[in-house]
Amino acid sequence: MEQRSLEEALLEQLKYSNVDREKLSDAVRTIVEISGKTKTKPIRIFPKGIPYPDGWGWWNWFTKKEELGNFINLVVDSNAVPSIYHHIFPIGIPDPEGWLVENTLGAVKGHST
Amino acid sequence: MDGTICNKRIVQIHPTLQCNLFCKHCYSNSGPALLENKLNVETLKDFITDASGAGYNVISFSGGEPLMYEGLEKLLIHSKSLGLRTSVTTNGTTLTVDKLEKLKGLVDLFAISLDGPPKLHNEIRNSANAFELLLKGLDAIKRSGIQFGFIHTLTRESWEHLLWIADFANRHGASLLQVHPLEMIGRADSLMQSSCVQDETNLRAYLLLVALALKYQKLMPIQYDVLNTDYVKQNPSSVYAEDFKSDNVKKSTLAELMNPLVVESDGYVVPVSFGFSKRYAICNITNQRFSTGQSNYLNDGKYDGFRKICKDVFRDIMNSKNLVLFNWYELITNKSHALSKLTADSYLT
Repeated sequence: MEQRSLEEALLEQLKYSNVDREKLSDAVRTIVEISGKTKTKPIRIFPKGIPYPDGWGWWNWFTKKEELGNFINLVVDSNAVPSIYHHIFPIGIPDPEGWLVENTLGAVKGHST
Repeated sequence: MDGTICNKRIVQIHPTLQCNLFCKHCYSNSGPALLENKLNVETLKDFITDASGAGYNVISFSGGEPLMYEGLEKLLIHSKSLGLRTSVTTNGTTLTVDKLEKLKGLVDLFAISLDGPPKLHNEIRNSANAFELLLKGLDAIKRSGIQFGFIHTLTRESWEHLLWIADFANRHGASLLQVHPLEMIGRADSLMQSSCVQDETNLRAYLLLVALALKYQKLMPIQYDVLNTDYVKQNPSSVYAEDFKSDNVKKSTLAELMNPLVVESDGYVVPVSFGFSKRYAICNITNQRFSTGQSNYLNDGKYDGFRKICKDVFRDIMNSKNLVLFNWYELITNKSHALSKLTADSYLT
């Protein structure tokens, strides 16, 4: 089966399936809930034309692999975005210190379930 | 109270509305013909000095195209002499090796506007070769070693290109990808109504950006300038909506109470976002030093007006059904204009 990344599968799903607004909202709420439990930095937003001065986004929620796995499982189990589970997989980046690494992160590899 | 930005206290300055492009979504209505719309360099140097004294520690230059402002280098030198961090938001088309050589050590971050793949970018930039020029500018900035990131204005059409945009940004070594939803202000209000970001576009973009943020973690942070309703409900201080005592205002610096601050090209200093109703301006630096203006603003109770707007917007958000994500800056700017139409006295009492 074609191996696609999480984001490629997600884009295809969002573009071509009839995922309704309610399911999209549920998916977003799920992610926000996870981030609320795991985030180490508060959420920051900026008005138009002002770049984030630190160069750090507020998306650095997932500090451990397990948390990413939880997120993936939640998306799968909640069926918030149906059929994406076909392309979701453990991301095998062998960094013992977790996700916040200086290098080695590259394209997400995957396998079909 | 912390507002939406924490220890970085930012001032955004629009020294000029002159720009070599005439972008369809330009929030400041900038363009090549606006030669006279610019602020005096010494006036801005005084302002930066006063802003630093008031607690602001980041100066962010926008426009127009700030690289077309002849006083930019002087302002950056002055900012650095005060120990401030600096950023410049640019369309990237006028970046050259020589120009960047002079700005080394003066600019901490260049934020380059990127509207999508070449065809979409050129269409929004209203220029057949904008993307080509951007690539040349990109080449120059990479040689300079100055840190840069991309700012993308999300539209109804561009969300499908977020993967391409993130890949482009990462391939070219960007330190940041920042996504901001299109706002119906400035030229966008007349030329890009059909590209307005609807609720579902926001939700789709959000999910994609989560996946992209996971992919590029630590390589390239991704920032999306929207808030979630549940988060704001639990953290009203993030949008200046918590209860506060007016007495505390006089004990605080303006930077602790309002962040960011915006200087528009006519000299008005307004709260948080370009286009905020001038009824709530702190002062105009062309006829008053900011140090005096901000002192008057805090001591005369005018800050209360800003906080009441924030509370109003918070109530609107909490009362809205099914709202999950929103652009707080757009909401509060719109509210400031809506309330400006009411009698000022009746609102502030």
